[in-house]
Amino acid sequence: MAIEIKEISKSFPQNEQEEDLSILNNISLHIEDREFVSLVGPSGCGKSTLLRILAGLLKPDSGQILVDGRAITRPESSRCMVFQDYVLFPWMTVSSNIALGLQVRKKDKEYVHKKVQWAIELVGLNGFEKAYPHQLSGGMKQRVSIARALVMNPEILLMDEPFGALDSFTRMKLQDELVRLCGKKEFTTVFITHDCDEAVYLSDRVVVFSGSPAEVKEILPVDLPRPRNRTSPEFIALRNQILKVSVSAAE
Amino acid sequence: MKKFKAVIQGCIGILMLLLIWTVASKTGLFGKLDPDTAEMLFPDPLVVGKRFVEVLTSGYLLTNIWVSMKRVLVGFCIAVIIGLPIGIFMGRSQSFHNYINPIIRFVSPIPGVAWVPLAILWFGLGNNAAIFIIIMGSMSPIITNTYQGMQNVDSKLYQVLDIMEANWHQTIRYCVIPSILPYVMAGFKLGLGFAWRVVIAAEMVGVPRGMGYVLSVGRNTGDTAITLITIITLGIIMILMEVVLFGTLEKRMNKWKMWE
Repeated sequence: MAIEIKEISKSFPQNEQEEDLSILNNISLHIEDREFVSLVGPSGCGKSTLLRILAGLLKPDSGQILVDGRAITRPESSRCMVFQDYVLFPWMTVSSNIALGLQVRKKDKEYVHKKVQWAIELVGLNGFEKAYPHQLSGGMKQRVSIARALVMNPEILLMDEPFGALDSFTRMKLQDELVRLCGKKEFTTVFITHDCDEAVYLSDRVVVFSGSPAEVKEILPVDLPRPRNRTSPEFIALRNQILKVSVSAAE
Repeated sequence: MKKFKAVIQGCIGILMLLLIWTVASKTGLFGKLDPDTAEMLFPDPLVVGKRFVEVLTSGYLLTNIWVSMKRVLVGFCIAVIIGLPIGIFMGRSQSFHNYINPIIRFVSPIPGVAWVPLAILWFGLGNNAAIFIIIMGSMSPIITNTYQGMQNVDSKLYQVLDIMEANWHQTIRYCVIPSILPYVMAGFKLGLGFAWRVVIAAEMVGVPRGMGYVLSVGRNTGDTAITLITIITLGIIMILMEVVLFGTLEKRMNKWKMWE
């Protein structure tokens, strides 16, 4: 699904005396169908707010977002979200967590079972079906969260710094798996990160935001073949360029 | 092994209490009472124990336990049926909270026993009066604890369910109820404690039959043994409730690590 972000602005009320804090200022951005786009920028610049508006969890003050020409008005199960802090249901096992969305959508039992089994294999959680979230490591929890999104056959996958809380080894491993999952080109991905290396490794395009209120500073295409080599000169050059742009954007 | 030791030590504590009791009784409160009065006012554990067996086998005690328990259960269940949804809606809707909160703040500090005369005037001396008082006494801790639980629900869980396009009863079922369970349990515990307190008080002042009634008959007839027996029985009932009812539920919740 192609996404057309049109002149989105959003501000939040602060203290009663002060003016509302402007978070997003007139953001416009086009994302192609099945494209992988990373949003990079200083923390607190409003990337997450934009993602929440994309999910339909927040309403913009002005502007609109069209998905294949249709305006977003509310959350929909075709646009799934993966959070940095996993947001799993602590009283449900791994397989119940993954199955929840399908159950909510009232899919029949056999389909749910098959689909959950498929997702568990896809993200490599075999043997942990009956485990509870508190028994899993951060990386495993994020796998559950990704599996929970994938069983819904999303058209758009929204990821809010999904690997931000993980150690670098686990992060690289999950990045590789995400490349594998997205390589099938079944959905459009919007990915928020601080990590320029991660952005270059994963994305078709990297969008650099400048600080508050957020504006699109620069859009950089990543024309490197996958799987990408993190140590190739082209990779490093591109990463440094993004780093430079985002550092200047933060100032 | 540690647990075994704790049990043994607990038993020794209780035996010590019984021993002190026996000595106090046999010596007439260490010589402060003459032996006849002492026997009447402060019978030793053996006498009380014999009497316990007597009232237990005659069915007198069990009938009255059952009467009080029925009142508590009915009143408490009604309090839960009313209080739980109120607490949940207070958490979901700010304006509902604003409407209802002053009333709860006002009603909850009123001691449950204070409703006894009004209840007797309205409902007469019977079960309905007792049930009314129990509802009044136990509903507010259920509401306040449920509301507190609602405020502690992880708001991102709601977001996840919103994205799944869950309707309100799915949200209640999959997210709200399991989230607030520990708080609700604490509210139930408090509420049930209040319920027992007020039912005993109500039965002592006039609602016929039940444990409180046995206590007041004991006082009127100078039957110290039966009052002691009733007190001990109440203690046992409370412990059983705590262990059987809440113990099993809490064990289950610990499995999810809800308390960490």
